[in-house]
Amino acid sequence: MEVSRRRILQKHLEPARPLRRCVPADTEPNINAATCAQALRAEEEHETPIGIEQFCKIVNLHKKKEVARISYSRDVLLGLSSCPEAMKKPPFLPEHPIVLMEARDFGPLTHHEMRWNGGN
Amino acid sequence: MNNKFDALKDDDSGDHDQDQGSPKDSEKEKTEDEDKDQNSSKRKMVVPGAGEHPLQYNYTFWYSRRTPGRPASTQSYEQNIKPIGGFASVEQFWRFYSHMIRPGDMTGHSDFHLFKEGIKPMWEDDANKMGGKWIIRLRKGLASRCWENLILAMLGEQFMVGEEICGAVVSVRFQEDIISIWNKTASDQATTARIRDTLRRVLNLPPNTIMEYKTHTDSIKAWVDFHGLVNPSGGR
Repeated sequence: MEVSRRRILQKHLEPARPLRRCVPADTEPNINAATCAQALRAEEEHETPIGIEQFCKIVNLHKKKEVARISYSRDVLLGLSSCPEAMKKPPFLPEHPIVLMEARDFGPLTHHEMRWNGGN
Repeated sequence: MNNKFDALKDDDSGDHDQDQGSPKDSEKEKTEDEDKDQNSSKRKMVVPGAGEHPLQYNYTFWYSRRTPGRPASTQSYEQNIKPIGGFASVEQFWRFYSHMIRPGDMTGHSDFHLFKEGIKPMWEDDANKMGGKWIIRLRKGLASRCWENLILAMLGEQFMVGEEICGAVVSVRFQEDIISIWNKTASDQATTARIRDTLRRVLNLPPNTIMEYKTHTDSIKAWVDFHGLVNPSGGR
Protein backbone atom coordinates (compact mmCIF):
# COMPACT_ATOMS: atom_id res chain seq x y z
CA MET A 1 0.00 0.00 0.00
CA GLU A 2 2.64 2.46 0.98
CA VAL A 3 4.54 2.03 -2.22
CA SER A 4 1.53 2.42 -4.48
CA ARG A 5 0.32 5.57 -2.71
CA ARG A 6 3.70 7.17 -3.14
CA ARG A 7 3.59 6.39 -6.82
CA ILE A 8 0.19 8.01 -7.28
CA LEU A 9 1.35 11.15 -5.53
CA GLN A 10 4.44 11.38 -7.65
CA LYS A 11 2.51 10.92 -10.87
CA HIS A 12 0.04 13.58 -9.88
CA LEU A 13 2.50 16.16 -8.70
CA GLU A 14 5.24 16.04 -11.22
CA PRO A 15 3.54 17.59 -14.25
CA ALA A 16 1.44 20.00 -12.21
CA ARG A 17 4.26 21.81 -10.43
CA PRO A 18 5.43 24.20 -13.07
CA LEU A 19 1.86 25.25 -13.94
CA ARG A 20 0.90 25.99 -10.38
CA ARG A 21 3.79 28.38 -10.04
CA CYS A 22 2.69 30.78 -12.75
CA VAL A 23 -1.08 30.38 -13.23
CA PRO A 24 -3.93 31.25 -10.83
CA ALA A 25 -5.47 28.16 -9.33
CA ASP A 26 -8.99 28.63 -10.72
CA THR A 27 -7.91 28.67 -14.37
CA GLU A 28 -5.54 25.82 -13.92
CA PRO A 29 -7.71 23.07 -15.36
CA ASN A 30 -8.10 24.79 -18.75
CA ILE A 31 -4.51 25.73 -19.33
CA ASN A 32 -2.90 24.49 -22.49
CA ALA A 33 -1.02 26.13 -25.32
CA ALA A 34 -4.11 26.81 -27.41
CA THR A 35 -6.10 28.57 -24.71
CA CYS A 36 -3.08 30.65 -23.79
CA ALA A 37 -2.77 31.93 -27.33
CA GLN A 38 -6.50 32.63 -27.42
CA ALA A 39 -6.34 34.59 -24.24
CA LEU A 40 -3.47 36.69 -25.57
CA ARG A 41 -5.33 37.38 -28.79
CA ALA A 42 -8.43 38.35 -26.87
CA GLU A 43 -6.38 40.78 -24.84
CA GLU A 44 -4.87 42.33 -27.95
CA GLU A 45 -8.26 42.69 -29.54
CA HIS A 46 -9.56 44.29 -26.39
CA GLU A 47 -6.85 46.94 -26.57
CA THR A 48 -7.12 47.92 -30.22
CA PRO A 49 -10.39 49.91 -29.84
CA ILE A 50 -8.29 52.62 -28.09
CA GLY A 51 -7.81 53.99 -31.54
CA ILE A 52 -6.58 57.29 -32.87
CA GLU A 53 -9.43 59.31 -31.39
CA GLN A 54 -8.94 58.10 -27.88
CA PHE A 55 -5.18 58.32 -28.22
CA CYS A 56 -5.47 61.99 -29.19
CA LYS A 57 -7.74 62.59 -26.24
CA ILE A 58 -5.19 61.14 -23.87
CA VAL A 59 -2.36 63.14 -25.39
CA ASN A 60 -4.42 66.34 -25.22
CA LEU A 61 -5.20 65.76 -21.58
CA HIS A 62 -1.49 65.62 -20.88
CA LYS A 63 -0.83 68.67 -23.03
CA LYS A 64 -3.50 70.67 -21.21
CA LYS A 65 -1.84 69.93 -17.92
CA GLU A 66 1.37 71.49 -19.17
CA VAL A 67 0.12 74.33 -21.32
CA ALA A 68 -3.26 75.40 -19.96
CA ARG A 69 -2.38 78.83 -18.65
CA ILE A 70 -4.80 81.67 -18.33
CA SER A 71 -3.49 84.20 -20.78
CA TYR A 72 -4.89 87.51 -22.02
CA SER A 73 -3.73 89.79 -24.79
CA ARG A 74 -3.08 93.45 -24.05
CA ASP A 75 -6.23 94.42 -25.94
CA VAL A 76 -8.44 92.06 -23.94
CA LEU A 77 -7.02 93.38 -20.66
CA LEU A 78 -7.43 97.00 -21.75
CA GLY A 79 -10.96 96.21 -22.89
CA LEU A 80 -11.84 95.08 -19.37
CA SER A 81 -10.46 98.27 -17.79
CA SER A 82 -13.59 100.24 -18.58
CA CYS A 83 -16.15 97.83 -17.11
CA PRO A 84 -17.87 99.06 -13.93
CA GLU A 85 -16.29 96.32 -11.77
CA ALA A 86 -12.84 97.57 -12.71
CA MET A 87 -13.57 101.16 -11.65
CA LYS A 88 -14.69 100.41 -8.07
CA LYS A 89 -12.41 101.46 -5.27
CA PRO A 90 -10.74 98.44 -3.62
CA PRO A 91 -12.06 97.90 -0.08
CA PHE A 92 -8.71 97.90 1.73
CA LEU A 93 -6.69 100.63 0.10
CA PRO A 94 -4.11 102.21 2.41
CA GLU A 95 -4.05 105.97 2.69
CA HIS A 96 -1.03 107.06 0.80
CA PRO A 97 0.15 109.91 -1.44
CA ILE A 98 0.28 107.57 -4.41
CA VAL A 99 -3.26 106.31 -3.79
CA LEU A 100 -6.05 108.22 -5.52
CA MET A 101 -9.46 108.79 -3.99
CA GLU A 102 -11.23 108.31 -7.30
CA ALA A 103 -10.38 106.10 -10.25
CA ARG A 104 -8.41 107.98 -12.82
CA ASP A 105 -9.64 107.87 -16.32
CA PHE A 106 -7.55 105.65 -18.52
CA GLY A 107 -8.10 106.58 -22.03
CA PRO A 108 -5.18 104.17 -22.40
CA LEU A 109 -2.35 106.57 -21.69
CA THR A 110 -3.26 108.88 -24.52
CA HIS A 111 -2.09 111.94 -22.64
CA HIS A 112 1.30 110.41 -21.92
CA GLU A 113 1.66 108.94 -25.35
CA MET A 114 0.91 112.27 -26.92
CA ARG A 115 3.46 113.88 -24.70
CA TRP A 116 6.00 111.22 -25.58
CA ASN A 117 5.38 111.48 -29.32
CA GLY A 118 5.39 115.25 -29.10
CA GLY A 119 8.71 115.17 -27.33
CA ASN A 120 10.28 113.07 -30.04
CA MET B 1 25.06 89.93 7.22
CA ASN B 2 22.86 89.45 10.28
CA ASN B 3 20.08 91.51 8.84
CA LYS B 4 19.97 89.40 5.76
CA PHE B 5 19.27 86.31 7.75
CA ASP B 6 16.78 88.05 9.98
CA ALA B 7 14.87 88.92 6.86
CA LEU B 8 14.87 85.32 5.78
CA LYS B 9 13.69 84.25 9.18
CA ASP B 10 10.75 86.65 8.90
CA ASP B 11 9.88 85.16 5.57
CA ASP B 12 9.86 81.66 6.95
CA SER B 13 7.58 82.49 9.82
CA GLY B 14 5.16 84.28 7.53
CA ASP B 15 4.87 81.43 5.10
CA HIS B 16 3.40 78.95 7.53
CA ASP B 17 0.10 80.75 7.69
CA GLN B 18 -0.04 81.30 4.01
CA ASP B 19 -0.44 77.91 2.47
CA GLN B 20 -3.80 76.82 3.85
CA GLY B 21 -6.96 78.58 2.63
CA SER B 22 -8.41 81.41 4.66
CA PRO B 23 -7.45 81.81 8.28
CA LYS B 24 -10.03 81.92 11.06
CA ASP B 25 -11.81 85.23 11.49
CA SER B 26 -10.03 86.10 14.69
CA GLU B 27 -6.70 85.49 13.03
CA LYS B 28 -7.74 87.55 10.04
CA GLU B 29 -8.48 90.60 12.14
CA LYS B 30 -5.23 90.24 13.96
CA THR B 31 -3.17 89.99 10.80
CA GLU B 32 -4.90 92.97 9.23
CA ASP B 33 -3.90 95.02 12.25
CA GLU B 34 -0.33 93.98 11.70
CA ASP B 35 -0.42 94.92 8.03
CA LYS B 36 1.90 97.84 8.39
CA ASP B 37 4.81 95.52 9.16
CA GLN B 38 5.05 93.98 5.71
CA ASN B 39 2.96 91.06 6.85
CA SER B 40 0.80 91.04 3.79
CA SER B 41 1.69 87.43 3.12
CA LYS B 42 -0.36 86.55 6.19
CA ARG B 43 -3.47 88.26 4.87
CA LYS B 44 -6.53 86.40 3.77
CA MET B 45 -6.11 84.90 0.33
CA VAL B 46 -7.58 86.92 -2.51
CA VAL B 47 -9.92 85.19 -4.93
CA PRO B 48 -11.58 86.35 -8.15
CA GLY B 49 -15.11 87.71 -7.68
CA ALA B 50 -18.08 85.99 -9.30
CA GLY B 51 -18.04 86.47 -13.05
CA GLU B 52 -14.61 88.11 -13.03
CA HIS B 53 -11.73 87.08 -15.25
CA PRO B 54 -9.26 85.05 -13.17
CA LEU B 55 -5.52 85.51 -13.57
CA GLN B 56 -3.02 82.67 -13.76
CA TYR B 57 -1.43 83.91 -10.52
CA ASN B 58 -2.40 86.25 -7.71
CA TYR B 59 -0.27 89.37 -7.46
CA THR B 60 0.56 92.06 -4.93
CA PHE B 61 1.31 95.72 -5.59
CA TRP B 62 4.08 97.24 -3.47
CA TYR B 63 5.41 100.76 -3.21
CA SER B 64 8.70 102.05 -1.87
CA ARG B 65 10.23 105.45 -1.49
CA ARG B 66 13.55 106.44 -0.05
CA THR B 67 13.25 109.15 2.55
CA PRO B 68 14.98 112.20 1.14
CA GLY B 69 18.07 113.44 2.89
CA ARG B 70 19.09 110.13 4.45
CA PRO B 71 21.83 107.98 2.94
CA ALA B 72 20.59 104.71 1.46
CA SER B 73 22.82 102.63 3.68
CA THR B 74 21.02 103.70 6.84
CA GLN B 75 17.57 102.80 5.61
CA SER B 76 16.26 99.29 5.61
CA TYR B 77 14.92 98.43 2.22
CA GLU B 78 12.56 95.93 3.74
CA GLN B 79 11.04 98.55 6.00
CA ASN B 80 10.56 100.89 3.08
CA ILE B 81 8.51 98.57 0.88
CA LYS B 82 4.81 98.78 1.62
CA PRO B 83 2.18 96.43 0.26
CA ILE B 84 -0.70 98.28 -1.38
CA GLY B 85 -2.96 95.35 -2.13
CA GLY B 86 -3.38 91.98 -3.76
CA PHE B 87 -5.62 90.82 -6.57
CA ALA B 88 -6.62 87.63 -8.33
CA SER B 89 -8.63 88.79 -11.34
CA VAL B 90 -8.31 91.26 -14.20
CA GLU B 91 -11.08 93.42 -12.74
CA GLN B 92 -9.44 93.51 -9.32
CA PHE B 93 -6.16 94.51 -10.95
CA TRP B 94 -7.77 97.49 -12.71
CA ARG B 95 -9.37 98.59 -9.42
CA PHE B 96 -5.94 98.99 -7.83
CA TYR B 97 -4.25 100.28 -10.93
CA SER B 98 -6.87 102.95 -11.55
CA HIS B 99 -6.55 104.15 -7.95
CA MET B 100 -2.78 104.60 -8.07
CA ILE B 101 -0.89 107.44 -9.68
CA ARG B 102 1.13 106.63 -12.77
CA PRO B 103 4.87 106.05 -12.35
CA GLY B 104 5.54 109.05 -14.58
CA ASP B 105 3.77 111.24 -12.03
CA MET B 106 5.76 109.97 -9.04
CA THR B 107 8.44 112.17 -7.58
CA GLY B 108 11.69 111.46 -5.80
CA HIS B 109 13.35 108.09 -5.43
CA SER B 110 10.28 105.86 -5.73
CA ASP B 111 9.39 102.41 -6.99
CA PHE B 112 6.28 100.45 -7.85
CA HIS B 113 6.64 96.69 -7.58
CA LEU B 114 4.18 94.12 -8.84
CA PHE B 115 5.06 90.62 -7.64
CA LYS B 116 3.39 87.27 -7.50
CA GLU B 117 1.63 86.68 -4.20
CA GLY B 118 4.05 85.28 -1.64
CA ILE B 119 7.19 86.71 -3.28
CA LYS B 120 8.66 89.80 -1.68
CA PRO B 121 10.32 92.27 -4.02
CA MET B 122 13.68 91.53 -2.42
CA TRP B 123 16.82 89.86 -3.72
CA GLU B 124 16.88 87.64 -0.64
CA ASP B 125 13.42 86.13 -1.08
CA ASP B 126 13.57 82.38 -1.70
CA ALA B 127 12.00 82.79 -5.13
CA ASN B 128 14.50 85.49 -6.11
CA LYS B 129 17.79 84.46 -4.57
CA MET B 130 18.93 82.37 -7.57
CA GLY B 131 17.41 84.83 -10.01
CA GLY B 132 18.07 88.00 -11.88
CA LYS B 133 16.37 90.74 -13.85
CA TRP B 134 16.23 92.39 -17.21
CA ILE B 135 16.77 96.13 -16.82
CA ILE B 136 15.69 98.79 -19.27
CA ARG B 137 16.70 102.38 -18.67
CA LEU B 138 14.24 104.89 -20.01
CA ARG B 139 14.50 108.57 -20.57
CA LYS B 140 11.91 110.63 -18.73
CA GLY B 141 8.43 110.53 -20.17
CA LEU B 142 8.32 106.85 -21.14
CA ALA B 143 7.85 105.13 -17.80
CA SER B 144 4.05 105.13 -17.54
CA ARG B 145 3.48 103.65 -20.95
CA CYS B 146 6.26 101.05 -20.65
CA TRP B 147 5.21 100.04 -17.13
CA GLU B 148 1.63 99.50 -18.24
CA ASN B 149 2.70 97.41 -21.22
CA LEU B 150 5.10 95.42 -19.06
CA ILE B 151 2.63 94.52 -16.35
CA LEU B 152 -0.16 93.76 -18.83
CA ALA B 153 2.18 91.31 -20.56
CA MET B 154 3.07 89.74 -17.21
CA LEU B 155 -0.52 89.45 -15.96
CA GLY B 156 -1.66 88.14 -19.36
CA GLU B 157 1.04 85.41 -19.29
CA GLN B 158 2.67 86.64 -22.48
CA PHE B 159 6.22 85.64 -21.48
CA MET B 160 5.60 81.89 -21.86
CA VAL B 161 8.35 80.84 -19.45
CA GLY B 162 6.31 78.68 -17.11
CA GLU B 163 6.74 79.60 -13.45
CA GLU B 164 9.86 81.65 -14.03
CA ILE B 165 8.55 85.22 -13.72
CA CYS B 166 8.63 86.63 -10.18
CA GLY B 167 7.55 90.23 -10.70
CA ALA B 168 8.20 93.62 -12.24
CA VAL B 169 9.51 96.94 -10.94
CA VAL B 170 9.42 100.52 -12.15
CA SER B 171 11.94 102.83 -10.50
CA VAL B 172 11.66 106.58 -10.78
CA ARG B 173 15.04 108.23 -10.44
CA PHE B 174 16.43 111.72 -10.85
CA GLN B 175 17.35 111.74 -14.52
CA GLU B 176 15.92 108.51 -15.82
CA ASP B 177 13.39 105.82 -15.05
CA ILE B 178 14.14 102.10 -14.96
CA ILE B 179 11.82 99.19 -15.55
CA SER B 180 12.80 95.64 -14.79
CA ILE B 181 11.34 92.15 -14.78
CA TRP B 182 12.61 89.54 -12.33
CA ASN B 183 12.85 85.81 -12.93
CA LYS B 184 13.71 82.85 -10.73
CA THR B 185 16.67 81.24 -12.45
CA ALA B 186 19.41 83.55 -13.69
CA SER B 187 21.36 80.62 -15.15
CA ASP B 188 18.50 79.51 -17.40
CA GLN B 189 19.57 81.13 -20.64
CA ALA B 190 16.65 79.88 -22.72
CA THR B 191 14.29 81.56 -20.28
CA THR B 192 16.16 84.84 -20.04
CA ALA B 193 16.43 85.01 -23.85
CA ARG B 194 12.72 84.43 -24.21
CA ILE B 195 11.93 87.12 -21.64
CA ARG B 196 14.19 89.57 -23.50
CA ASP B 197 12.50 88.83 -26.83
CA THR B 198 9.03 89.20 -25.32
CA LEU B 199 10.05 92.49 -23.69
CA ARG B 200 11.22 93.84 -27.05
CA ARG B 201 7.93 92.85 -28.62
CA VAL B 202 5.50 94.09 -25.98
CA LEU B 203 7.26 97.31 -24.96
CA ASN B 204 7.64 98.68 -28.46
CA LEU B 205 10.81 100.42 -27.37
CA PRO B 206 12.79 103.00 -29.29
CA PRO B 207 15.34 101.09 -31.42
CA ASN B 208 18.44 102.25 -29.56
CA THR B 209 17.18 101.10 -26.13
CA ILE B 210 19.78 99.10 -24.19
CA MET B 211 18.70 96.03 -22.28
CA GLU B 212 20.87 94.57 -19.55
CA TYR B 213 20.56 91.35 -17.55
CA LYS B 214 21.80 91.41 -13.98
CA THR B 215 21.83 88.52 -11.50
CA HIS B 216 20.71 89.32 -7.97
CA THR B 217 23.94 87.94 -6.54
CA ASP B 218 25.79 90.53 -8.64
CA SER B 219 23.37 93.20 -7.41
CA ILE B 220 24.08 92.25 -3.80
CA LYS B 221 27.84 92.27 -4.41
CA ALA B 222 27.68 95.64 -6.13
CA TRP B 223 25.60 97.05 -3.29
CA VAL B 224 28.02 95.82 -0.66
CA ASP B 225 31.03 97.07 -2.64
CA PHE B 226 29.47 100.48 -3.06
CA HIS B 227 28.20 100.98 0.47
CA GLY B 228 30.96 98.98 2.08
CA LEU B 229 28.90 97.25 4.79
CA VAL B 230 26.87 95.22 6.75
CA ASN B 231 23.37 95.58 5.49
CA PRO B 232 22.88 94.08 2.06
CA SER B 233 19.13 93.92 2.55
CA GLY B 234 19.20 97.65 3.11
CA GLY B 235 18.47 100.46 0.68
CA ARG B 236 18.96 100.13 -3.03
